[in-house]
Amino acid sequence: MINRLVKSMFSDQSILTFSFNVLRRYEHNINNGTYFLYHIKSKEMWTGNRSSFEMLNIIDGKKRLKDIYRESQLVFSDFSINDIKNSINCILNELIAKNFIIILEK
Amino acid sequence: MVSEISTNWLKRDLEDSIKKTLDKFFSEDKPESALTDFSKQINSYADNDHLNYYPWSVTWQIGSECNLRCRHCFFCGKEHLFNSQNDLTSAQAIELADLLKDEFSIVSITITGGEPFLREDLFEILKRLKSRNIGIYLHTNGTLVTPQIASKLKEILNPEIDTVQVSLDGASEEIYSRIRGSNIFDKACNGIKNLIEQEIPVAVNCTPTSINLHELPLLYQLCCDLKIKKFSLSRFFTTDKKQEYLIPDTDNLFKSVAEITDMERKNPSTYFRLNLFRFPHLVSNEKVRKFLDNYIDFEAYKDIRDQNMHCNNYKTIYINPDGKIYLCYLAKGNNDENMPVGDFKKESLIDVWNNRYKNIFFQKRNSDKLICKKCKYFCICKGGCPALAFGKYGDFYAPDGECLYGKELMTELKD
Repeated sequence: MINRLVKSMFSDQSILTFSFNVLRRYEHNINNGTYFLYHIKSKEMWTGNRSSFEMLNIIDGKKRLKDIYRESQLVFSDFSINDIKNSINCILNELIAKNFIIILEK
Repeated sequence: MVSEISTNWLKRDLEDSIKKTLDKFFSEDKPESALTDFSKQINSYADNDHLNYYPWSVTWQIGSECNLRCRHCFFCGKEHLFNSQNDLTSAQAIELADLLKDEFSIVSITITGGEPFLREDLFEILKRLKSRNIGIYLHTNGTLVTPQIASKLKEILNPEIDTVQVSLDGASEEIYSRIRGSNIFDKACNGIKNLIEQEIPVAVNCTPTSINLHELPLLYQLCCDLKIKKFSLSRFFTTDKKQEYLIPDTDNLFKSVAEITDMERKNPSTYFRLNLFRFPHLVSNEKVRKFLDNYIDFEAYKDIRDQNMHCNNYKTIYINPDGKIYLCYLAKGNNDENMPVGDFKKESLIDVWNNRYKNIFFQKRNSDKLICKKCKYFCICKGGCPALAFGKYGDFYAPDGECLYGKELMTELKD
């Protein structure tokens, strides 16, 4: 299900960026590291763990998704590329649906 | 209309004005911003003693240079302080901006000066900070904000969370020029209009002095006419004996605050923020003390815990133009060598932050040791500001440097 949704939303070539309406904060001391994203318009909060912070930090509005997978693999070297892709796609899927992340180029 | 505003408030009853000022001081009518909501939501995940791993917000005095020489300025009469020779270079400032956003993950920043628009790299620094959507509060005198500058700012700032604060210390050319210099009142007003034209949220701040006191209600009216979203009054600090003639008359300050509070009810779109008083000021005033108890629920303040020396719970830092880092502006003191937490030119930002524990300010203040702990109002102010206590008396456990009531108490104890 997730993979089907992912396919329709973005591809390896996609360029992504955070919405201009999202505030970001990583708190090392809360639950062993929590990444907080807050949407100014919807006032919705999204939280993720340290791994999601590391991964989302790579998104800069310039890199293609395939580069984000590759860079994440360097950070999470214990995991297979498929596991990494699935995790990233799952998070992106949710954040794009909630307008936290925008697709600049499909 | 103008003449009515100029004179009517002076006829106000003083006691009624004090009560209105206290109503305003103790009311919680501050409009909630996205940044505050974000902070509150994060805090709901943490326990009470949660300390941010990295600062939440930063105040950065980005440059020393200024195109004006205002009478009430901290730097007034000290021309060497306007010298930008030791300011961070462009490369250093940009590196600092990148570290603040990437390593510290700060959420908001106040950029002040000098006059920030005199820094040629200002837009590059703002762009870097906005690449992570850090909330920006930019202080300026507005005189350099041309339509082109405003248009460039519009491309960078996010009107949902960013604000440009213009200092405007008079409602007329005559008064403004007596404080800030001649022929620039129109420039400052045009700067504001240029920003508003670009739909950039503008706040106006005024420092009441003996020169402009009679124009404060008129200035608020001008802000309403200009569609300013926030009007604030800030306290005047004397940094030199020569500035003492500028200290405004307190009774008339209460009257003007009461007048503006009434005007605000008719113009709710221009929020009036009262930064003018801290609790120690109110306690210091005998006329205010007559009414103060009606506003305080003493029962609610029974539990007095030791307070961190830093009122913002170490959530902020203050950066000087030369890269020296302090826990807050007041903790700069009289440039005491113990006060800086570190120096960005000599150490990495992370090292500065990690070493802040060694700073004399980074400690809890034991309530039992405080000289004014027997004061009836201690439960409210908890001894006030340690930095001001240290600045005035060289002792963290002395009363707040601006609390005359505490000073009386100290004298009694000595006697």
